[in-house]
Amino acid sequence: MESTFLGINTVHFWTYLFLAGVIFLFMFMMGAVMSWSERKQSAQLQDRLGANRAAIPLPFGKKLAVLGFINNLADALKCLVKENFKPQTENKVIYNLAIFFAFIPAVLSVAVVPFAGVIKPAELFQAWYLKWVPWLPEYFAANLPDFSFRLQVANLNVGLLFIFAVGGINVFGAILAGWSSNNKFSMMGGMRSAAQMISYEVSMGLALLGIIFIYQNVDIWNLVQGQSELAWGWLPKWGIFLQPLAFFLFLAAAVAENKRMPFDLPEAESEIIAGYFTEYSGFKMLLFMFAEFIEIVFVAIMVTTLFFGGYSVPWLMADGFHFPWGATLALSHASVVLLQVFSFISKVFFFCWLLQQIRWSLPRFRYDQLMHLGWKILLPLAILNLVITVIIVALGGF
Amino acid sequence: MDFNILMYFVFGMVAIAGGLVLLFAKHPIKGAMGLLVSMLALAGLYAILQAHSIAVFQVIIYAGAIMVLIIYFLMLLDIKSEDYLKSYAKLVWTGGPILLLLAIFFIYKLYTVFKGQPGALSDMSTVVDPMTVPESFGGIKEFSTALLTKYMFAFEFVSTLLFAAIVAVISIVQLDWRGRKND
Repeated sequence: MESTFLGINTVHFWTYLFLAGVIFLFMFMMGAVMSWSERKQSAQLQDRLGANRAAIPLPFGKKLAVLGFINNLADALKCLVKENFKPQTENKVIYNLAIFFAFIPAVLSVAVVPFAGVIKPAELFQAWYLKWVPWLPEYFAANLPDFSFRLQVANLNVGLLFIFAVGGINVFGAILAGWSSNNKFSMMGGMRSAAQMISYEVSMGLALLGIIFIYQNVDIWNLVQGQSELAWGWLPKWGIFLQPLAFFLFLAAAVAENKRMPFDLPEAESEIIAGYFTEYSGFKMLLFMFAEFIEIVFVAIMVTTLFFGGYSVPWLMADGFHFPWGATLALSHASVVLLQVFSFISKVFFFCWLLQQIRWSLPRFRYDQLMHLGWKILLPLAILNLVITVIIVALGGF
Repeated sequence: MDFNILMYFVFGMVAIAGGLVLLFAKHPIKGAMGLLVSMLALAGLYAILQAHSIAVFQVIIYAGAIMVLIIYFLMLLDIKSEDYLKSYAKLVWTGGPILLLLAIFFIYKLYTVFKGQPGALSDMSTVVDPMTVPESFGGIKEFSTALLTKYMFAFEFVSTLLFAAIVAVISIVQLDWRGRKND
């Protein structure tokens, strides 16, 4: 059975390729949902109806609008057929390359995040509600009885650092777009975004150092494992309970990294048109917007994974629930996996909602306020949090 | 062909191509982009050689921090003036003899290292086979232990050097203790 493809075990190759495709698609769908909620949620906050006009005509005078979801399709179509405006710049290569620097890191960093625990296909397809594929359980039971994998594309032992590395490359998107557009507004947007992202990356990293100290790991898989343990027999060891200050620091810094509303100086439309992507039109502009929406989802995923236990459900073990008051509820492997995936996705949805709510509630900072918050409030607080955490860890707490 | 070996050559070629762009590009930003691509390709090479920590730090420090600063300052400069657009690439040829000596040295070194192993140079799998290193190699724990024990002196020495550079810069621009400029 040990067949290989390019030196990689064939089963592993196809499993991880399939997994990568599923998670890639998930991020795209979530990006689409975010661009929908950007309209509908803002409309709810401002007492409007929001986008509902674009619809697919059906027979008998009916229309298929799906709560404004068809507007997304109409937007994509519009951006595809629009004039592809090209600014007068001598750097066509960099002008086009900037889109990729903005877009690829946004979808790449999710590779190290676990979406659920270990999956055993031979056991998974035994569940009665997954029996509709008749040959799958027999295939896995006959050929790969011991095969198991984690619902995580890349199992890196430097996972958290990988996310920072990819996030560091993300800065180039805005800088290069702003510079190569040959437009003063774009240039200012690029400068602002570079200064902002570098400033907030410092406090973001320092806020997460506390988490690394407590769980003694930078491997995201182990971080989630550490968070699914219990303190005093009943409280899940989620990051939010052990590092409450770090959670707020990280959330603020992550929104700033994302260049969203209270921190959206790089694209402040009342000051510098659209900032670094002023000179991008049609689908190129859409890609910048889409990268931003995917980044919101990624911020939600990071908050979920680092502070809310990732996929873990309180008191859910590999064989079912073990409640602190002694009761147990046995569950099949498939149910446990589905519960974990559901828990992860619902947490991500909650934080996407929260981030949108923040974006539509708060007004934009002034530039000096932005720098003041980043360097004089968040950074000292992050260092304070780190010092307290180190003292408690050294005294043998947690 | 093994996937690792294939990617090893791809990243190697990209690293060399990035270096050539850095040397021969007319525009400073294009040169910086060449350097960036070269750095990222080097990180890929480290990752293939199982040194995950070094690969990640290569991207965080070189691509994510140093290159951002370089590009930031290149953008602030007035690169339309003639001085910055002068090509320095022809200085490469004066370095030719040194390059030749280096190449000879590396080939000699490779020859002596792999002389004892049968078929070593024709079979690259002995060079980049991940199975030849222990499982824990390149992990963050091993990396940190080596950095904070064996290479502690070098590490601290470099940080002293950086601190000296900061002091030197402040003394050159002559700031007073409040951060204001002295006239």
